[in-house]
Amino acid sequence: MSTLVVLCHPVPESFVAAVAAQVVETLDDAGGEPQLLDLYADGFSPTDADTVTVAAHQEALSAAGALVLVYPTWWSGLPAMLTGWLEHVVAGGSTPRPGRPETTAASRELLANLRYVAAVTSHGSSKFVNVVQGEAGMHFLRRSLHPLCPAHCRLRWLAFYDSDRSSMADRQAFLARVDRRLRSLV
Amino acid sequence: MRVVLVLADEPDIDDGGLRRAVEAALATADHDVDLIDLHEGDFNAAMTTAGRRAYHSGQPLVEPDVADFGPRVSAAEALIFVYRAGWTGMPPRLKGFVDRTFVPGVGFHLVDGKLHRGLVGVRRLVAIVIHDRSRSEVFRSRDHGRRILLRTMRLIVNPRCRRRYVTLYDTRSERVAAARRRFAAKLDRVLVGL
Repeated sequence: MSTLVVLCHPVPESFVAAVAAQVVETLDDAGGEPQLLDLYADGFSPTDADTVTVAAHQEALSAAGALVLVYPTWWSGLPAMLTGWLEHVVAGGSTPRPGRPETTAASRELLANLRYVAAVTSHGSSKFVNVVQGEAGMHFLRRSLHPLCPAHCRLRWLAFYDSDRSSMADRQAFLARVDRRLRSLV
Repeated sequence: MRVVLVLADEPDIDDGGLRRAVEAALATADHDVDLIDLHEGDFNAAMTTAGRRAYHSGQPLVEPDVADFGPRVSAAEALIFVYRAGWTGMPPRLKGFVDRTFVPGVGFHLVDGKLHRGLVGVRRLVAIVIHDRSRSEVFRSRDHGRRILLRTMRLIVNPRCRRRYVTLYDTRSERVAAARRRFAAKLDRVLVGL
């Protein structure tokens, strides 16, 4: 089963892009058949996504057996680009409501083949500061995205904290952790 | 009070009724309003490559569509956000505004990796939000938008800043008429009494 890796970072030489490269390398090696979707390189528009692009991304998502989101956490939440992608592609432009099955059916169908969802993300500040800030992004994935996935689908949170004060050794250790954790999932 | 009003709701829904109500309430109280309409002009919601490269350079607002946002929000005493919440809590346009405007030098200052408040002049944070979902659904989703605007932002504004969340839930339900009246009344009360 293939894995859809969604990368959301504007700078190709950033640490987050290096993490995505590590994700792809690990999945390739472990037999996860990664398929990289670089939202910035593809010129995806979070506000006015065209229907052809959305349909292509939806097709890739429904064919995938796993979803890995690689992004920076900004202001404790997901970047605008990624929220736009989730609203257009996963939610199809509407609002899935847990209490109303008819509003979630389309999204559930798209996510029906997922065995796991992994979020690989960097935070400028520490875990403590993020807890004070409310960890909006993590809660969104746990409370809004994950419940639409099949019952057996797992959610993995792979976070790099305190990147503003990190050393090269910290960053390399995180790449090694990503490699180890993803191998255990595939 | 010097108010920066950030409008992120679609201008054509409800014939702009929400915007008019907000602007009318602010006008009654004689606030000095600086309007930022994210649907006007060519505002790009996604953080740009050039903007991110310049993020830690000391001059991060390099793109013309956000260049004047920095001085405008720095001069504010109250920040008011108006939007309709979708699945991800706040619309991408508004998250883009937050990502691209509250950069180092405007929203905060990083000194040796430590965060210092950048908007100490801001003493009121108000979010005026219309949700499609019911109150309990929004509560269970942990409200991405509310957490970012009223909780994360608390670390960069004045420590004694007051926060208000004015909401209308479940706009599709039949019982919404009474809720709409309460919403309109609270909106007036909060904005007039800033």
